[in-house]
Amino acid sequence: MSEPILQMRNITKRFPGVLANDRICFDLKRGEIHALLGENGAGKTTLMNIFYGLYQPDEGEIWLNGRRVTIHSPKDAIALGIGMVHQHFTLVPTLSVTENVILGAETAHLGVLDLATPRQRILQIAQDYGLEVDPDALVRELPVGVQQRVEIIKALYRNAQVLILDEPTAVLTPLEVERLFETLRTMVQRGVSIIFISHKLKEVMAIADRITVLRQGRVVGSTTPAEADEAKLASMMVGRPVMLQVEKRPAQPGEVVLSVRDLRVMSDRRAVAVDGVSFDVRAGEIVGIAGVEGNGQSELVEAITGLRAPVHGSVLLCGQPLPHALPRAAIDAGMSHIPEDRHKYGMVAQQPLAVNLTLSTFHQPPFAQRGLLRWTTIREHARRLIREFDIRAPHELVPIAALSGGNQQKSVVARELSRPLRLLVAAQPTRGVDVGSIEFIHKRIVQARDEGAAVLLVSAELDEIMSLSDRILVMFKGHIVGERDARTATREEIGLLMMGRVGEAHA
Amino acid sequence: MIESIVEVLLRVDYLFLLATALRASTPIVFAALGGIFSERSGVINIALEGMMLISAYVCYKAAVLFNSPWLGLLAGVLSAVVLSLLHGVISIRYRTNQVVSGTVLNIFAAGITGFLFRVLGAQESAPYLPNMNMPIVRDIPLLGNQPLLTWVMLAMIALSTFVLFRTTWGLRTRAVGELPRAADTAGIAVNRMRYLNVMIGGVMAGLGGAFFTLHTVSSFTPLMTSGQGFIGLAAMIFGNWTPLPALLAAMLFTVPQALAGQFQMFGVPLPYQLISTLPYVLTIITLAGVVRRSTPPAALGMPYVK
Repeated sequence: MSEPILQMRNITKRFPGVLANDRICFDLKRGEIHALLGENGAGKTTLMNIFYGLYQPDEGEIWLNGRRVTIHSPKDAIALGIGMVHQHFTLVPTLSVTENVILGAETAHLGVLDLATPRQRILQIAQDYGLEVDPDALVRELPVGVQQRVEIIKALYRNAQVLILDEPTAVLTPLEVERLFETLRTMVQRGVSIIFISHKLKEVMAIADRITVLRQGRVVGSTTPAEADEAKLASMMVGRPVMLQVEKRPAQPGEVVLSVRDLRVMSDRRAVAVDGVSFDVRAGEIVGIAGVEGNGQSELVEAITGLRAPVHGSVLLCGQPLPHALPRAAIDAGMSHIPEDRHKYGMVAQQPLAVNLTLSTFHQPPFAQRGLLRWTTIREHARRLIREFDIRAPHELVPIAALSGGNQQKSVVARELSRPLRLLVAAQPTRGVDVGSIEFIHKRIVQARDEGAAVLLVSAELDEIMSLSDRILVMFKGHIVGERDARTATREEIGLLMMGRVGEAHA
Repeated sequence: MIESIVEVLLRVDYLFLLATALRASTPIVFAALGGIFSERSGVINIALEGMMLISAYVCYKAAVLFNSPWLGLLAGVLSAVVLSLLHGVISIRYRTNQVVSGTVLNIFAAGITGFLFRVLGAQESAPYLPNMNMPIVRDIPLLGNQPLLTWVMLAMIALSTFVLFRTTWGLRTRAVGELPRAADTAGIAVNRMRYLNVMIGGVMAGLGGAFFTLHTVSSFTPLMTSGQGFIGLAAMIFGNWTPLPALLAAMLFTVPQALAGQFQMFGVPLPYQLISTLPYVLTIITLAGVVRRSTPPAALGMPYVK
């Protein structure tokens, strides 16, 4: 770790109405992992897109290996030895791993592709860096974790000396994150320098040599994991002290609100995803469902909320069985749902925020009368929610797609919590959301509980389950394999249950 | 009647039947190949019908004018390419809905050729392109004595397959049609690839159009392409956007048609009109029923915006 390989000096980038990067200085030393930490919209991705040639800076200089460079396009960046793994992968699902890796940097003789040579090199890179992958597999058949390896290989194949990773852990399971970190350490040992963009404090603390925090387009400060702790980083990110721990009083469970009885649900692939699951959720308590993703949680939530018909069993709300696959019936019975994939089930992207804030109730008074929408009421309602839930939007008529992920999620939460509710089903309520919004959403969920709602929380983040829940159920391969009181449960115990090791978890 | 059908089926010369069907498949396959290049790069192209029609007309007129089928062919292909470029500008540059653009161009082609036909007429007959009837060649089963363009069509199938799956061009084309963002970040000019592939589509449609006036009949009649461009698209879809299967799919339409011709020749009392609807009925059935198994390029119909 000596000379900086990269220096960005006073980079400024303006978008209409936004100062995305404000005189940012950032440097990267050879062979280090430098984390760029900040909330969504802090300007991390903009800065890196400038470095990768996707945007041009309005002001400022980039120095690479002691020379000033101008980067007009990704092509220039690649030629300079810069590689980037985007948050949303840029892999073509129908092409093979080899084809994806060589795309744009093909070896060809008179236009005829040579696939054998690249294939050998890919195997070599895979071996050198512990990035196991089958070069002949089609990308669409690979799990997300392996797809990410392909992205990294793609950069290494182009001899990247500087690798930018934009939120690389967002799509990974904890085990895959561990594996990614090992790879990154190997790469650093071999002289690659890494810029690690993230908003996850734990991961930044675990992997980075240095941490630079951005907030609202500016550098707030730089530090190292040794000097900082999570609380300090969080307050740098948000600009005020943040409660990482959720504050809540002990639950006071009332009558049973949700009863799930012997539920059996099939997955899209026609396999049994939920196999004979029964449990109750009472008014005034938060029941958390922990588990590694893909163990039937999604199908369970869909069956409860009426998005998927179960093949057997029943869902009762306050003793009344809910009809299968009728979301409207569930809503009318007082169920609110924060869906795990807001883009698919939570919002209509191109519609105005105001419409999205009334999606589940727009057909009823006061929002509609005699089949006609009442825009004044809808807009007033939207303005109220924007204030109450601190949704950052220029006004209530912007398409919701124009908001940041955190604000989109806050809008969904606002809509679902703004009508009388008996049961809240919250699936991955803080996925892809910044720290400030996480804190806020957690508070509102606890508040809903305190006001007497029953809450079913499904999350892949063990921390979220541990801090929010009153009771924890663990799901494994479609079954509930354990139930624990959240006050006495330990991370280790829940972790073992999540892997299906029920016997060991009893100890 | 059943006996007479069976009798005909026993007496039919199947090699002759296949040869007829192969010849009839020529414009359909050209349209399908045009569709494959255009759509593999992400641009829906239902204007192939119109491109074929324009080309058929221009081929005829130019061939008569220069008294050369070759110059006719060249002019016809150029006219189809011009139309395809127009489709490219409308749908890539101005990001208009590609089906609307294609529909408009089809109507335009039908209108302009119909108009010119009325004004200028089509009395003279155009010189034909040669058939492959040289010694030895003419005795090759199935392929002997076929129109030149049928040979070109078969060569294009091989060439297209090779280009799509074995060359840099093909890899980039497929990437651009599936996930343009991936191609863009890899330094590939997405819209340039799309323009060029749409224009390759124009070349193919131009060749298909030439078949009507430089091989089949030596004159032009309005709307003479009679939906074969659309059948080509059905063959493309049925063939899952790959050249050779598209030919087989096209044969699925033309073999029954050829058989119908045989029935008529042998005097089977089956109304000819009924049998000649078969290709269209088959188009509907394949599009409705079998399409599920084929998957179009993921970015098909979506303009690329950085």
